[in-house]
Amino acid sequence: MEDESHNNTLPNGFNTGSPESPFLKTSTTTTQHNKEQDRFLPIANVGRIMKKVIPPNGKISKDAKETVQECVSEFISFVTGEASDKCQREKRKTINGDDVIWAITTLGFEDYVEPLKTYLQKYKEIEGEKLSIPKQMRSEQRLQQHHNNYHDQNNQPFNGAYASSNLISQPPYVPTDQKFSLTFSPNSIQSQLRQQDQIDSVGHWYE
Amino acid sequence: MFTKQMISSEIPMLMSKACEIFIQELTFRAWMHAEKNNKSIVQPCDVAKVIMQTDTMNFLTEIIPNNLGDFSVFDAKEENIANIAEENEVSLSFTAGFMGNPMMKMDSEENAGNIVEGNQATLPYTSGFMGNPMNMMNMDNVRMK
Repeated sequence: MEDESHNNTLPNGFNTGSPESPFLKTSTTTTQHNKEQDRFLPIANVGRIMKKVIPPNGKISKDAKETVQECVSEFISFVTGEASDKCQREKRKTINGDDVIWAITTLGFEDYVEPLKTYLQKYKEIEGEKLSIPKQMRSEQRLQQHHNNYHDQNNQPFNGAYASSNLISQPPYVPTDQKFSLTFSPNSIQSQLRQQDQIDSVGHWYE
Repeated sequence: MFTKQMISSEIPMLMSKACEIFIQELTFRAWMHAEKNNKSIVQPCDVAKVIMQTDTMNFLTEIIPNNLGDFSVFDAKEENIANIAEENEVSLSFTAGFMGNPMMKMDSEENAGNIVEGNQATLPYTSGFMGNPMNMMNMDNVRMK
C-alpha cells in the first residue's frame, strides 16, 4: 500500500519558510521516514503525472515510479544549482525566474523554455491582477478558488494554486491550454491526455 | 564559503512546471522503450535505458546503478525478456504443440516470474494457468500486446 503523503514539499528544495497549506493532510512520521519524505517529491504525485503520458492499457511499476522520483529530485538540484552559480557570479542574492530559464537552456532542455515562459507570463499577469484587489477580498477569492478546485477540477481557474507563494501545491495539468501541451508527443496522445486527465482529476480528490 | 541566497516568489511555481514536463518526457520515452519490447508495464530498466540513450539526461547516469544493481544485471534482464518474447511467438505458431505439451508454457511462466520479481501482475495469470489451459492462450494475447 502506497503511503499517500501530502506534505508540502517545495520542488526546488530551498527552505522558504512557507507554512503548510491548511487543505493538506498532515501525518506523523518517524525520523527516518521524514528524511525520506524530505529528499523526494511525493510518489503519489509523481505517479499521477507519469500516468498522463501513457495509454490506458499501460501500467507503471512501483519501482519505476521510485526511479523517476529520484530522477526528478536530481533534476531540481541540477537546474537550481546552475541558476545559483550564475547568481553568485553576478553578485546577486536572489534567484529569479530568468535565471532558472537560463539554466534550463544551458543544460540542454531548450524544449521546456517556451512552455515555461508562457506559463511564467500568465503567472505574472495574474499576480498583477491580484495586487490590485484589496487584501481581504483576495483572501476570500482564494478560499473560493479552493472550493471550486475541490468540486470541479476541470473548470479550475488557471491561477487557482498560485495565488501566493504561501499556497504552493502540486500544479494540476491544464489540458485546454495548448501552449502547455507536451512538446515531444505525437498528436494522437493529446486526446488520451485529456481523457486521462479527467480520470486523474476525479481520482485525485476522492481516492 | 556559501553565501546565503534567496529565491523570488515565482521560482516554486516555475520549478513545479519544469518538473512536471521533465517527468512526462522521461515517462513517455520509457513507455516507448517498454512498448518496443512488447511490454505494457514500465519498469526501472526502461527508465535507465532512456537515461543512457538521451544526451540531456546524462546527469542522471550516476544514480541509476543504485536502482538496478550493476549494468551486467540490467543487460541480462533485457536479454531474458527478449528471449521470452521470442519463445511466446514460437509457441503461438505451434498451437498443436502447446496443446500437447503444457510443460513448455510452465517453464516460460516460471522464467517470467523470476525476471519480473515481485511483480504482482503475473500472479493472477499463474493461478489461471494452473486451473485452465485455455487461460494460457489468453495470457499469451495479453503479453503480445
